[in-house]
Amino acid sequence: VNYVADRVPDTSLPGIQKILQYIKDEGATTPEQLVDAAAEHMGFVELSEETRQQLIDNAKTDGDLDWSDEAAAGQRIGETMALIGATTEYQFG
Amino acid sequence: MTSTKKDPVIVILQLTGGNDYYNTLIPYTDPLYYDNRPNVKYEQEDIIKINDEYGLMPTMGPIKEMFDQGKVAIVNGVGYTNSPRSHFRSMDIWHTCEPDKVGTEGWIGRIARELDPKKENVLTAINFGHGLPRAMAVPGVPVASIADLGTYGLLTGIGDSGQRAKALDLFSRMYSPTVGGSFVTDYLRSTGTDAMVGADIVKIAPEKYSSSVEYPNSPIATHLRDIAQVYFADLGTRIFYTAHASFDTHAGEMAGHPVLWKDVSESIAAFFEDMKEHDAGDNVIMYLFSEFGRRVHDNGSGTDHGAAGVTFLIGNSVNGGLYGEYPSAKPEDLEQGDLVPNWDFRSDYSTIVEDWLGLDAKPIVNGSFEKMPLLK
Repeated sequence: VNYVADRVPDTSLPGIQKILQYIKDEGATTPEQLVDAAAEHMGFVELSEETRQQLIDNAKTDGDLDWSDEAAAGQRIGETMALIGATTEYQFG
Repeated sequence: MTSTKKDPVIVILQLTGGNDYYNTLIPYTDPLYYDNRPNVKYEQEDIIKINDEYGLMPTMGPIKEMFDQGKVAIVNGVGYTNSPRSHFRSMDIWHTCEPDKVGTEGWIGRIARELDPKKENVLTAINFGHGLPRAMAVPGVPVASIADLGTYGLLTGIGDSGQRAKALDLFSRMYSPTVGGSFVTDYLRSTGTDAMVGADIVKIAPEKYSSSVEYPNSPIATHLRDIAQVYFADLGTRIFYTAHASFDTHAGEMAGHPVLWKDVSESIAAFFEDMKEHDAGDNVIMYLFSEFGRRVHDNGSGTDHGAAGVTFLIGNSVNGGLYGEYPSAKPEDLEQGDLVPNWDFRSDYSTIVEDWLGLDAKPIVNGSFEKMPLLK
């Protein structure tokens, strides 16, 4: 869990920066779009509906992604990817 | 009447890579040592003599000091028959006690299962280092693996404390058992909750620790200090595991091997000094092993994979001394050019399991093996 969580929120990494750019270009803003985009870029992780909803509910607490502050948006995406990396689906799927 | 005696604890220190037995406990009066080792040898004046025949390699001074105090048992000729001389297979064999087939349960994991069958303490056995050694892997037995005690925890890559708290809450919910869940999903979820519970418990260890002992600046010293911290925090851990590498000295052995043993020796000395300072040395012993020894003849710069090795048992409760028989280095007595093991490693394990931990060794080490009186 920590191996993934240590890396994907690191927005200084070139690969993570590319992922953030892809997600921005795809226009992801809502919590649902954020979770789905993060799961796709973590390797098309197939999340159960229960897990997906838990992640969406968590993302909703911070509202929509605000791309006017790219650093903050990038941090949220990185943290969402870290959470996806912690799911049973990612770890054991 | 309640007992104030503390539970016995074992620290396993794996010397990864195949430690050169012939250049660790040295038969310095045997001419064959100098004949076989034209390039990879120590001169008599540099060897730390422990008796008229054998000595320790030059950087093992701290171990020698403890040996003189009667706290170090050195066991000769340890291994098993038909060694494959493969790191992976040999380490598997040491970890699972299965020399003839691929084992699936580690002996340390089995001990943890016996000590805590109801899994009441997820920290019964802890590895300090990256990954999890197979020795500790048994399905359903929770063990912790800590690379760095100071930063140990779940989702530590999320820097903001508020966000991390939310993330941990979500993690807790994701891994909670569900009604109607299958055995597999419940098993997977339990690994997550066990990790979370363990992280919450163990994080107090550095906060509670204070010591005047200065540990050396090396990875093994850091791991042993972390072990001491967790032990002093009294979290119920009975088995600690760690490793130091790499003893796979195919080349440049005369430069590398002394550094390895300097790091190990100084770190062990600091660890037991720490135990002494905390009046905690009587129920902790440390076992050192390596997956095999190395060849009798050097290759010009180092040594290649061999068979028989040497093990060490260290602590206040150890009956110090030399045990067993040093395998003969005569050409006619070698196998594939290697010293032949004459003492099964599972005998060492049996001593630890039965005489120290008070358990039945047979189901843990897959058989009954002769023991030596390594413990008081």
